[in-house]
Amino acid sequence: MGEGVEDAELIRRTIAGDRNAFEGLVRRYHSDLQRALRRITRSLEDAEDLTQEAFLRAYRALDRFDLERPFRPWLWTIGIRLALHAISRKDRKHARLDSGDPEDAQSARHEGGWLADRRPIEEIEERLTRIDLEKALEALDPDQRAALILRVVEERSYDEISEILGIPKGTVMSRLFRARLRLRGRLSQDGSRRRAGE
Amino acid sequence: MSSRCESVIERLGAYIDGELDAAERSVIDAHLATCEECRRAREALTAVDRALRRSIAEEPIDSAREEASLARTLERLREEPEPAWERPRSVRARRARWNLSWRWAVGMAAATAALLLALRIAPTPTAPEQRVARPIPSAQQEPIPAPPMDRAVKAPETEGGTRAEPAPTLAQDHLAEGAPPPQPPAASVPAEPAEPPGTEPEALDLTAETQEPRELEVRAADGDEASRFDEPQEPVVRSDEPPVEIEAPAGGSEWGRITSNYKAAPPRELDEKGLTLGVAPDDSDWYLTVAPTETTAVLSTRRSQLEAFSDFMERYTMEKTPREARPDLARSARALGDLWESIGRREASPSSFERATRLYRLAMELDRSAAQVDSVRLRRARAGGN
Repeated sequence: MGEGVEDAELIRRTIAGDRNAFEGLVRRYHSDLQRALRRITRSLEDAEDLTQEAFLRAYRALDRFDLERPFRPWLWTIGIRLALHAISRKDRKHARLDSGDPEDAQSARHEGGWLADRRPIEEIEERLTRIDLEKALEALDPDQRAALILRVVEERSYDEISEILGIPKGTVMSRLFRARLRLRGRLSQDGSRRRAGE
Repeated sequence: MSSRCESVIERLGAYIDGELDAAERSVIDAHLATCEECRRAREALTAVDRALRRSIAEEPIDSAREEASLARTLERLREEPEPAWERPRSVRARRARWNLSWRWAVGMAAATAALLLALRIAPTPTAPEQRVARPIPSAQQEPIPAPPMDRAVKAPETEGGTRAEPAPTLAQDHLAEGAPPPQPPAASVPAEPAEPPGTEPEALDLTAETQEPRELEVRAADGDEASRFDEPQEPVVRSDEPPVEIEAPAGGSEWGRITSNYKAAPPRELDEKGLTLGVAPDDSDWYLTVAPTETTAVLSTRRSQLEAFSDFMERYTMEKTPREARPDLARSARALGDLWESIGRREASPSSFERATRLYRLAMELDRSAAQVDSVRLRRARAGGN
């Protein structure tokens, strides 16, 4: 249900007491949100739980949603923050001050030494598989991964990412920069290994 | 690599994302036209995006499982009690705004109180009650980063004219409850202030939200005076009056002296949000001013004192501060890092550099892990919304 009806209209109907209207929103966004959360959490099971929780929370807070704004990013904000929170709870035992690498460009620049890699980009790129990418994504900090997914896959602007992740725009910029550097460093290594193995 | 290249490379991501303004863009275009290395860097970054998109496109999709997952969500939703949506939206929005700024103010006051408590500074050592809002850790959960937003504050326009998309206004309150288990709807809506806007909350009762600091009555064992920190303080740095020194409270404080009135070089503004670092003309003293109360504390550069404050920052801040306070604490950590770095430079002391590094990391950790509040936006919200 809800096919072709504007999100805002479905929300109005829900608040007016039509619970089926909200189901329309769930059907519309469930898969997309779950996929986005899986890319961030790296776990389909977690993504399923988080997606359900995100919809529940959105539902409970629905009357507070500003109907003049789009629903999807609002829902994504809830889901992604839940996901990052869940990840940080999981990682809390391991993460701490001394384990985190300094988030400065200086250290990131040295990562992977990708600038020194003088082979044509295509040569590295064509040897990469989806599995390489998955592994490389896994190696990113969850915060970096979320920013990168939002930017590259979801095609959100820096302003939007800033709102969704609750960080200043400048941090979005540096986080994305580091994420790409690190990913690039990993991919470059993978590409090299693959070539060496041939 | 030249420093020029470094600065270009740091902006390449924003460049390929179309997030630079025309002037910045033309600077980078000009550089790219002449620098092969940076052109390669641009291609490398673009290739990352390409590879990522390709990988996403190749992701296997298990439709049956997605359907089953959707069905579970719908089923769960049908079990959900009807939320309490009784209030008219306009009233609700207005109250939410007020609630938001109130909570922000409390968070800031608590942060300042926490800092000053650690310093054992009493900026207005006159209040008879010995109550300060001191953050204590939530029993079981961490706050989810959930910067308060206000729908009165419109997101900035992007270059393409697209309005930035929203941030949940009040769903954050739900988010802030932490992860599941879900609560019944009545409890899931954080208590809104019982009193109308404009009434000063007498006791800072934050118990309605489990992750918020609860008020803690602090009674100093040695009988020194405590203060209320919820009143904005006037900046106390005046160069035309003799400094008034307040002895540190008895009871073994590390802090040799606290000066509430200080002749100093003009403070160096560290950022737009109010944290300032002042340096005495003879370089012997420092002071930090912490927004928003602008209470000024003078810190001597005596190493043991800086050690004590740094210890506090490292031990205390991660677990025990309200989420709203973390950006301020991050700035304080950075400012302390600056102090240590400066000591290291003067004395070439490796331990100072280590200390500075740890504090910078702490600052980054606070920035990264914590809820962040865009204070500037909130100030705007408060100015415009109420």
